[in-house]
Amino acid sequence: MAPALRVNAVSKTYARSESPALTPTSFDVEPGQFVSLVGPSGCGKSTLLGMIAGLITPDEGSIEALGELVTGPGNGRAIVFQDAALFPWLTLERNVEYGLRAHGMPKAERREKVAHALRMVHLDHVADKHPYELSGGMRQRASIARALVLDPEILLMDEPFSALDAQTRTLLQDELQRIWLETRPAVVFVTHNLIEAAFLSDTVHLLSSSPGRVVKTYDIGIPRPRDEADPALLDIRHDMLERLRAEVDDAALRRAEFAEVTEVGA
Amino acid sequence: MSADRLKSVCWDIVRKGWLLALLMFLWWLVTAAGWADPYKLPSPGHVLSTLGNLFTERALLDDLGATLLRLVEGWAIGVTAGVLLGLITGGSRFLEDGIRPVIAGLQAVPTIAFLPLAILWFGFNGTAVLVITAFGTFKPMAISTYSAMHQVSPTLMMAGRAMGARGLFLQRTLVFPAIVPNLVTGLKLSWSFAWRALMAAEIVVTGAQGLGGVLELGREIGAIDVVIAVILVILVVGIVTEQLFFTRLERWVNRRWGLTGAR
Amino acid sequence: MRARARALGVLMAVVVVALGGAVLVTGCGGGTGSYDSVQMGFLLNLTHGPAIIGLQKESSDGLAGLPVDEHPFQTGPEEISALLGGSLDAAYVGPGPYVMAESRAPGRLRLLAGVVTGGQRLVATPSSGIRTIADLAGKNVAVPAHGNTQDLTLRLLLESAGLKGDDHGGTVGIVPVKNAALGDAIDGGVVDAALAPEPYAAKLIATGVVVPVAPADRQIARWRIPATVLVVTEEFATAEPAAVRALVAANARAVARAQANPAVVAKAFNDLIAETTGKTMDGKVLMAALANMTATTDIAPGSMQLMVDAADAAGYLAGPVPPGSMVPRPG
Repeated sequence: MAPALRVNAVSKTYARSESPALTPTSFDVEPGQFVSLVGPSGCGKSTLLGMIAGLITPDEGSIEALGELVTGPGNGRAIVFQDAALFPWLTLERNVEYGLRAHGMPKAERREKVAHALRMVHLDHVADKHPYELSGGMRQRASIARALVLDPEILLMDEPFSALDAQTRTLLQDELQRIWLETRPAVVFVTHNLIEAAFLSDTVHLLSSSPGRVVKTYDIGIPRPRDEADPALLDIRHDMLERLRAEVDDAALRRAEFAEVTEVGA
Repeated sequence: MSADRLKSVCWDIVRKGWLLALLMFLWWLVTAAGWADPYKLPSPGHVLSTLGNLFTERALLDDLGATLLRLVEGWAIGVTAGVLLGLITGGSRFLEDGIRPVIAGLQAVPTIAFLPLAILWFGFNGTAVLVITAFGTFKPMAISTYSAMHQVSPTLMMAGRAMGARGLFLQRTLVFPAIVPNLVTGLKLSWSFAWRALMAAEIVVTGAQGLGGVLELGREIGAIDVVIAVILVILVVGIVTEQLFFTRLERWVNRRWGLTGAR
Repeated sequence: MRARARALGVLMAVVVVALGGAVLVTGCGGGTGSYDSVQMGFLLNLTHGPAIIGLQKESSDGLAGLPVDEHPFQTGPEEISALLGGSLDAAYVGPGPYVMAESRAPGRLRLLAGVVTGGQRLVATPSSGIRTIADLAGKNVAVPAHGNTQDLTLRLLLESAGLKGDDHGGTVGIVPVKNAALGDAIDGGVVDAALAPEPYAAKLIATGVVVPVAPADRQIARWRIPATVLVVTEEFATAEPAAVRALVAANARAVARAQANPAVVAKAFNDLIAETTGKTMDGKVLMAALANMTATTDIAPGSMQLMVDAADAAGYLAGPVPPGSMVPRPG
């Protein structure tokens, strides 16, 4: 079977920046596979996701989604952003409906799909509320519903839980696992939280910075549903941390990155 | 009305009116004590009686009505044109590069400088005044609009595009609603510019009814009490529109757009 | 407590600023009684011709030892404000604004002498069919401003024909139109006629846009209504009687020269507007306009009172005008 996503030696260097944000990187994502990109700030993981989403153009290399060359957003890919990025002037229902309207779907059909998506994230009781009336966790669930309503074959998630408190984050991780098991899109999940990446994924690409690159790939064979306190997950996290320490040779950089990784990975 | 409600309304009036009350008191004090030359600064009582005469004898209410009608018309036309041009301008880099410096330059020219042209093109009548008012409104509104478009959150734009929104649909359903809170600021700003342009134009084109004409009458016959009375009327209209319209509009938009939290 | 103390401080600051403003309003204009110069105002109008030539010659060496600073104004009300506000000591003004000043601030000014009489005519578009004053019924007539000499004269004309302005229950629309916009107002059909000051009347007649309404012009000539008079502040007159006598004499010489040689006035006027606006007017138009006015120091008995009566009837006056203030007191 053809991969859902083929990342083919893409690289990116931003203007006014000395080292590349991302050196040539390649990997495939199979249909229904959950892949995480994890690493400290500046490792190029968000750049990579932006390129997959079609919002950033790679300097070199190419990306194919569902067998087609990616030149812009759309065709089977949906994105969940870090800060939910809901439209504040629309109710949750209208927010979730937005992508369907953009695709010109008839109203009756839209209503049914929106209701289903809201039920899936347990927000059907607040469908007519505005985003400012909801908690951060509810907003992020709405933004997941907004992506799922498009029936994406590829779901892209850019640090979706990093702005949430620890309890909410754990709840949403469980919920995401459940939803993914129900709907089974291919997922590319960006995070700087090592344990989160290991918990959710089939495959984790560990990235490091200066220059941004993949330093190791982990295949997580633990059966689902998983438990975040599983000792096997903690072992993987430990290995990732060791790996990152070894990668960083600049002393100053090491201190900065170490602080971040240990803090968020704890 | 409950006692608490009454109390809070009273406190609101005190909080918002203390400066006005103080200035009125000082005005009265200075004139009653005979410190001011009555020709240069008539007493509040004198101005109030002049104001009463203007309403009963000159039908100032008709002038006020004519001015407000022209103001609202000119403002509405100017706002519509300004927002449309702003949207077009902000929507394309090429258009913006060409249009922006021209509008910015025009904004530096006082609107009233165009009155002789407006009189030539539209006649010595209410139309010229309306055009000048609309033009005075249009410039700050267009600037507010395209400036607001630069402040639309890039994440929201990305989210919209990623969901497949393009072109006119994107402009109509995302860009326009996203700039609404900033547009409210533009509406307030352009309202004050509309007032200025309208008064300046009415002073010259005095044929029709209007506060500007009364203001000019007061100046021409040296009746400073009439001038102060008209200023007071404009001041009161300004306070009333600000409190009853703009403040409420702003509060509604801010709440609806989640800018003030759930207050 | 801190917040309340700060609020009190703010309050005090506001009071201080407001009182400061009040002192400014009341304080200025209170001179010491001794002057080291004469601040002289005049309008950039052709009817102020003797002022224009006189300030260049008859007053150029000063008045009784006091140097003269000249200040051109665009409109009468500003000039009156400057006089009553203490920025001017003497001025060439139209009788309309002077009447308004005497009504609102009686006794502050003193009428010295006449300067020019005439200088205004009723003109109408040929298509309006206005041939007599009575024909103005139901028409719109332009005047330069409320309460100015033309406005008051028009009201006298209407009264003489049994008509009234529409602001007093009559049928004649009296429309204030600035001189510069008069052509547009006539072209646009906003007005059918105008009581216009010179040289605007002559200019419009020369272009064929309007024709004079002869019966009205004859009536205006009979009234001998002044176009320009010379006034000083009472304070200046009291403090500097010698300078006032010198001013009256200088005015008389300038008036005589203007009456004897209108071409001098036309040239001085063109030079002055060229300096301020960069444009000049057709010499023939100016000479035609000057032929429609008389430079004279006389103020015809009763002519000023006509202005007062017209202003009173129009509702422009705040109180009674002292009758003595309408008679020249050159000494």
